[in-house]
Amino acid sequence: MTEHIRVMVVDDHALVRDVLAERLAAQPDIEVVATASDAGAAIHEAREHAPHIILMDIDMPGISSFDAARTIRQAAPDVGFVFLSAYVNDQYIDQALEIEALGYLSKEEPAEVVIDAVRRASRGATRFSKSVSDRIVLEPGGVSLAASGSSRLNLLTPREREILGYLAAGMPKKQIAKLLGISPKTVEKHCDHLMDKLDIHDRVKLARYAIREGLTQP
Amino acid sequence: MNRDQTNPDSGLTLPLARPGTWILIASVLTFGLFGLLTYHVNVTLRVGSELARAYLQGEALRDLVVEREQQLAFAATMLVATGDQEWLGRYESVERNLIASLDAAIGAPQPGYDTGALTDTRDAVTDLRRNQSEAIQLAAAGQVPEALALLSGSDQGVLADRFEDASGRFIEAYRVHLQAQLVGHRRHELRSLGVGMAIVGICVLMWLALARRVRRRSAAFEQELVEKSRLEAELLQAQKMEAVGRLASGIAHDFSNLITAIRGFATLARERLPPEHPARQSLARVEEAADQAQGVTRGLLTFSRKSATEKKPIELVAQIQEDARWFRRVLPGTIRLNLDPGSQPKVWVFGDRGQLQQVLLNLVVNARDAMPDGGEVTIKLEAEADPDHDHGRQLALSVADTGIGMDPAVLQRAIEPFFTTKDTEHGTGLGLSVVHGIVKDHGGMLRIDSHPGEGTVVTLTLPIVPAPAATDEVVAEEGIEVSGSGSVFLAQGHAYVRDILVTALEDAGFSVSPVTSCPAFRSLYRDGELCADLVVLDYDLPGGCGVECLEKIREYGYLGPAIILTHELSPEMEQGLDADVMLLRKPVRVGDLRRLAVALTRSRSGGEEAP
Repeated sequence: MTEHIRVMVVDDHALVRDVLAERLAAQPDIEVVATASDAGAAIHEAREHAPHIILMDIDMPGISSFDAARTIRQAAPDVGFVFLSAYVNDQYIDQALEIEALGYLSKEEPAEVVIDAVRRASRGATRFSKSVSDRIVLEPGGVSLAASGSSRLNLLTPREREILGYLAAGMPKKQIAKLLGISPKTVEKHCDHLMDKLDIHDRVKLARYAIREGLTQP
Repeated sequence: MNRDQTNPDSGLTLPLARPGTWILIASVLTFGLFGLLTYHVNVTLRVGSELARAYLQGEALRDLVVEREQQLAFAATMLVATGDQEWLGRYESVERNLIASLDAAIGAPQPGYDTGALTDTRDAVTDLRRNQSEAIQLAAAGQVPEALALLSGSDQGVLADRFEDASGRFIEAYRVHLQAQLVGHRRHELRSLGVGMAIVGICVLMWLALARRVRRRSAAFEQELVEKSRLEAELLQAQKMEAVGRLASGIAHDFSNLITAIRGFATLARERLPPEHPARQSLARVEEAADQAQGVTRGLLTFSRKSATEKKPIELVAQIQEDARWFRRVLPGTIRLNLDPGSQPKVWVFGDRGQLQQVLLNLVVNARDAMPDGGEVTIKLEAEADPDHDHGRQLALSVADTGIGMDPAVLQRAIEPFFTTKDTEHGTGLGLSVVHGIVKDHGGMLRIDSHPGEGTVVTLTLPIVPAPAATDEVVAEEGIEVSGSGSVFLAQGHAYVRDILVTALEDAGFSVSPVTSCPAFRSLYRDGELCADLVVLDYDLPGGCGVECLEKIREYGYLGPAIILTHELSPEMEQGLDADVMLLRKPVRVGDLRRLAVALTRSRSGGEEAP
C-alpha cells in the first residue's frame, strides 16, 4: 500500500480552509494531517505533523507565508509548498520562485487543479496557474520573474536580429544572403526561426515590429 | 541653478536679481541723489554769495579810489584857491591813503584783479598828483590863476580821463572774471544735475524693473499655488480611489473565499450523495451559481486591482465593453447606459488601463449626478484625423448625458480643482480635474460642451497607436491559449527549472519525458519506445553539451525539431546547426517557450502552414 500524501492546509478563512481540507481528505491518496489559520501556527503544526506538502494561502494576517515557509524548510528541507492567492502579484511570484515553491495557484482555479497540484508536488513536480507560469523566465542559473516590458526580441540570436533589420528594410532574402555571405537557404532558416520566435508571420507586421524595437528606421 | 537668480524670460543669470539687493541699491542711489543735490545747492549758494561779495569788494575798491582821487583833486583845488594850509594836510592825507590803497591792491591782488588796470590807475593818479603838485607850487609862488588854470586845464582833464578809464577797466575786468567764474560754476552744476538726473533715471528704471519682477514672481507664485493645490487634490483623489480600490478588493477577496467555500462544500455534498438522489441536481445548481458569483468577484478584483501606473497599448473598444457592466452598477435604474463603439472594431491607444477606467468612471458618475430624474448616458468612440499630425489619427471618446447641463460660468470653471456644484456630501470637485490631469498625461485633450437644460458632452481625444505586433504582454494578458500535442523529450540539469518546464509543457498538452543529463537523454531516446515530436535541451547539461547530445540522437534517427536553451550565443554556435534546430538565449519566458514548442510541433505535423 502506497503512503498517503500528507498535506497541511493553511488559510485564515475557516470556511475555505475547511472546504479545502475536506476536498483533499476526500481523495484516496491524500491525508490532511493538519490545518492552521495563519503562518505562525503553520510553523508549529508543520513541526508537529511533518506534512509532505503544505498548501498555504499567501494573503494572511500575521507573519508572511514566505517567511514561515523558509522557517519550516530549515527544519524539513523536503517539504513542498503550494501557494494559493487571490492575487497574481509580482512580489508574491518572485518570493515563491525564490523558495522554489512547487506551485502558485490563483484562487480562481477549480478545486481539481489544487488537488492535482498537491499530487504533482508530492512527486516533486510543479503546478502554476497559467497567469503565473507565463511570467516565469528561465535564467542561466534558475528561474525568475519576467521583467516588466521585456521583449521577445531577446529571443533572437544576433544573426536573426541582423536579418530582421534587413527584412524590415524591405531587402529581398537573396540580397540579404549575398550581403551576409551565406546561402539563401540559411537566410530562409533564420527567417523561419525569427518569425516563429516573434510569432509574426507577415513581413509588414515584421517591419512594424522592427521599427518599434528600433532595429530599423521608419 | 538658483531659481531666485534666474530671469524667467531669458533663462540668463542676473547678478543682481534678488529683490532685496535691488531695493538696497535703489535706496542707496535715491539717498545718494538727495545728498548730492543738497550738496550742490549748498555749494551754489556759497559760490553765489562769495562771488557777490567779491564783486562788492572790487566795486568798493574802485569807488574808494575814485572817491579819494576826487577828494585829492578837491583838496588841491581848495589849497590852490585858498592857500589854507589845512587843505595841504588833507591833500597829503588823502594822497597817502589813495596810494596805500592802490599799492595794497597791486601788491596783494585778489584773484581776478586786473593788476595792469590797477597799475594804470596808479600811474594816472601819479600823473594827476604831479600836475597838482605843480599847481600847488605855482599857487605857493603867487601864481594862483595859472595854478587854477593848470588844475582845470586840458592836461588835467586828459589825466582824469586816463584815471577813469583805468579804474573802469579794472572793475570791468573784475566783473568779467567773476562772471566767467559764475559761468564755470553753472556748467559744473549742470553736469552735476545731469549726473543726478541719470541717477534718478536709473533709480526709476530699477524700481520699475523691481515692480515688474515682483509682479512676475507673484504671478508665478500664484500659479505654483494653483498647481500645488491641483496636485494635492489629485493626490487626495488618488488616495481616495486607492482606498476605495483596497476596500473593494478586500470585500471581493473575502467574498471570493466565501464562494469558494460554498462551491467546495456543495461539491462535497453532491459527491457524497448517491447518484440518484434528488438533491444532487440542486447542489449542482448551487455550484453553477457559485461559479457565476466567482466570475463577478473576479471582475471586481480586476477592476480594483492595485498596480503602479503602467502605460502600454490598450484595445479600448474591448476594455470599455468589459468595463461597461461596472459603469452600469453606479447608475440607478432610471438612467440608461448606451455604448456606441463606432465603426472601428478595434482601437488601440497607449495608456494606463486603470487610469483610463478611472477617467470613464468619473465621467459616468458626473453624468449620473447631472440626471437626478433619470436619462441616458452615451459612451461613444470615434476615430478621427489628428489635426496636429498630418497622417495621425486620434480617438474621440465622449460621454454624453441628457442632464441639467452647465451655464457658461460653471462650464468655464468645470475643470478647476475643488470646484463643484454638488453639495459637500456628494462631490469633492475633483472628478473633472483628475480626468483632465490623466488625459493630459496621456497626450490627449479634454473638451466639454454643455448648455443648461440640454445636457453635457465631455469629449476626450487620445492619439491612436498602431496595433502591437504580437506584443508579449498583451498576448499573455489576453490569455490566448496555446495547445499542442505529442511527446517532448526534455533535458534540463536544474531540477526546479525542469519541474517548471515539465508543468508548462504538460499544460500545453504535451506528454513530457524529463531527464537530468546528456547521457540520460541519449539513453532515453535510444532505449525508449516513445518517439519524440520535439526535444528541448539545455546547452550546458551534466555529462555533455546539448548540441552534442542532439547530434547523437540525430544519429539514432531523430529528425524532429529541437530547441536548445543557452546562456551565451554566438554566430559560430549557429553554424552547422540544421534548420530544425532553434537556439534560444536565456532569459526565456516559459510562456514563449511553450508557444514555440506548439508552433514547431504544429509546423511539423502540418497542422498549420509554415510561413
